[in-house]
Amino acid sequence: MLQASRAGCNDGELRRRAVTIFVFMIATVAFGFVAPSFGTLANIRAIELSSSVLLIASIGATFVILMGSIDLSIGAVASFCGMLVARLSPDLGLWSVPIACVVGLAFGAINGLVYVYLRIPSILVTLGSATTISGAVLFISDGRSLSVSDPAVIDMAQGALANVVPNAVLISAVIYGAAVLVGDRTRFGRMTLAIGSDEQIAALMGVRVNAIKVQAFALSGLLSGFAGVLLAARLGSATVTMGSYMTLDTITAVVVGGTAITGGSGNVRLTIIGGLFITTFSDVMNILALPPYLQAIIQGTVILVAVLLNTRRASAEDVK
Amino acid sequence: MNGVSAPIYSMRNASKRFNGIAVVEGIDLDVFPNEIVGIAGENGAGKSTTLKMIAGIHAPNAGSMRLFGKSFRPLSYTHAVEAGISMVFQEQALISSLAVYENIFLSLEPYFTSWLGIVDRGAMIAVSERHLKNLGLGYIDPRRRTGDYAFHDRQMIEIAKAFALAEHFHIDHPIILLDEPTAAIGEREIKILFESIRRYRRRASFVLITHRLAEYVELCDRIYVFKDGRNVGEFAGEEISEQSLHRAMVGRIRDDEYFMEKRQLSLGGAPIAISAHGLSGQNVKNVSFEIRKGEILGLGGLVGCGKEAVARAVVGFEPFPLNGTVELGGEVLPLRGRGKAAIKRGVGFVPKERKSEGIVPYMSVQANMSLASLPLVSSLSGFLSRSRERRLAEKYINRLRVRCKGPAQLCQFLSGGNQQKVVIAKWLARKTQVLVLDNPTRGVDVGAKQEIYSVLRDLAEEGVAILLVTDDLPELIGMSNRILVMREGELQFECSAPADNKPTEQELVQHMV
Repeated sequence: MLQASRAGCNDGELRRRAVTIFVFMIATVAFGFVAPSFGTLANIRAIELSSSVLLIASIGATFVILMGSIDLSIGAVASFCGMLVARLSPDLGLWSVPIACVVGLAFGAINGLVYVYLRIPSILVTLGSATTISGAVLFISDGRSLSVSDPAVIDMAQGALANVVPNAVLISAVIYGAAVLVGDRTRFGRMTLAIGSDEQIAALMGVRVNAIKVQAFALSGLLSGFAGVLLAARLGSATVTMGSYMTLDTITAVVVGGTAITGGSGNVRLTIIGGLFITTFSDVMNILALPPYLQAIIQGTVILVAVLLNTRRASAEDVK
Repeated sequence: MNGVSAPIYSMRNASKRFNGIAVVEGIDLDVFPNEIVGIAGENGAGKSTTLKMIAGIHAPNAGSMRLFGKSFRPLSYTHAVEAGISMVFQEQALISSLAVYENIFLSLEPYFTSWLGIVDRGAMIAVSERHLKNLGLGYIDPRRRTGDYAFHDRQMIEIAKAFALAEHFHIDHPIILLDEPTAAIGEREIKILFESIRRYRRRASFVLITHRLAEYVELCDRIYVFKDGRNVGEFAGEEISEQSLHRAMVGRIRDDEYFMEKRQLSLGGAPIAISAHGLSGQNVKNVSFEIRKGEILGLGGLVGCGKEAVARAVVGFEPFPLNGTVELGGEVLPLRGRGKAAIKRGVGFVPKERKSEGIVPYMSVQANMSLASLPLVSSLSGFLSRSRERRLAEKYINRLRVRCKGPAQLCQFLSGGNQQKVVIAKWLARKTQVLVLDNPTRGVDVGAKQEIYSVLRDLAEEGVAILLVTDDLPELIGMSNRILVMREGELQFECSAPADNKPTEQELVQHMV
């Protein structure tokens, strides 16, 4: 019995997920016909790489959004950590990667602590920290782009296992698997959802709600930092604003994946659909060489439609 | 309107259903000029619903209303206001960051707007000032921020607003509805409010709901008594007394089968499971009691008497108690972090607000049931085991007869009664010694109610100590081994309620009011 075998996933959930997958498949196939170079190996590789980066950042965003909070500093943290790797890798080699990740984690933890203990709404905390961190990127880079040339760091993103599966895809798959496990089968995963539904429920279970919140923001910082590192390694250089697209794209990926922007409903498992969808779509528009302004117009519209298909609108009593 | 014989407002045979459940059925109600009318009844008798029908907030499913001699079918509250009916809401409807005059004329700005599109603030302030003065509220400055005034002053502003709106819509005798106006103010303010209402009645009629019978007696000319959504009595003048009112309010026939009173245990020397000493805090004054193993202790009293706060003090959640100890199996629970310590030692809490505090609607039944006992369903790896979780859920679905498609169904799709069973199961899953329930059968249909009672009897037989806080008198009497009655934060009365010698509702109610 498929239905009973999945804890967080019931019949309605499955149906809704099926709708998203269906839309995604149709869109993908249609694109394939429209753009002849869509199905080539090189293009598929490109989609894999960029969706890996977005997926990693979106996973962190999912837990934050499930709680009903939001993290607007994802792009800035990604830029900072990418730049940090570019700065440090000539001296430290691959060691610069864990260091950058720890810095990302620290940014996230600070976001969480300020949000929880100074009682400032997360949207404002992360709006502020995003600006601060963006400034810090300029500070550590002198406002210039830096190249990443350390072979070990480059290989982390651009190499491939047995020349078939790109490392970036492997890494993101492992992180995704771990995140699904955490989301479905740990206290942290259950409690983020409970907090998003109503903090009182979690509190009445004797859970320290504040601790969970800080953990979720720290996770978001860690993963967006790592996404920035992977992006820099993939591009072979770090620019000051390279991660900024991620802030809104992660939110979109999460919401297209069926997680409610108000929290309390959704699943990290579904976020992968959102991530793949966004990346594929912008890839196709690039291949078709659509002018950038037209791309933006189409992408915005498509995202609205995807959200329309994939959220529980009827149940939202107060749409804010 | 010549003389006093004709009512300015009348409601005939009005009924209101929510989700097919009749809340109000066949109500008749009249309001005469200059009259103060009360609507009395227990919780859930349909008082508020009736008030909201008058105010156009709920449309009656059947019946008719007349206002000032014309048929009256308000489509919304705004519509009722235009026709001369205003409501002073329990949770106030003023915006605290706006000036007083802005609140008084909120949404009526177009009437004060010149052809240039500029709002004439001077005129709005002048009119507000005149109304405030007329009501003896000259000390309220219409230019000041509404939030700067105390709760009872804001209440007076709402009344002033009602008069201002009535004048604006050319109504010379408005009807003002007061929904528990004294619930959040002190004795002194209540006195001022009542004096004001008596003065204002020369220019208006009032309809009042309150939870203190004495206030009806003090203020009202005529009182309707509601029970279970029906009109069961009407008292005027000399007939009004607290005794006559609560005799009419209570007196439902209690069915001992329904509460399975034969299964009630007689507790000779059963050991004490939990005891509370001198609990004090917001709305709670020095409350002490103990519960034996297998005992169901009922805690009753009117809304706002502090019984919910006692329940939450025992389990250690907001509003936190300031003082007092809770002892469990010879061990005193700490004042700080009592919630966590209580859960650890097997205290379960079924809160009143099921939707916001009990269940996670977008989580499956099994995930909700395991929420309080995640370590118990985890495997050695530290991750939750789906199969253990499912087995646990299946066990309690069978035991509590939870009607659902299976452990994976989202709780959102369950009925109120079945959701409540999930909340109870959550605590049973972790070997609870003491179960505290706050109105466990509120909003639960009759069948599920009885199943919940049966579960409570089972638990008592297993030796679980139960604290049952409830607004439902028959439930309080039928289920409890012993009953405590609270009034204004203090324990007022205690009696034992053995199966063969239950107290009557009247006996208890006289200690509540």
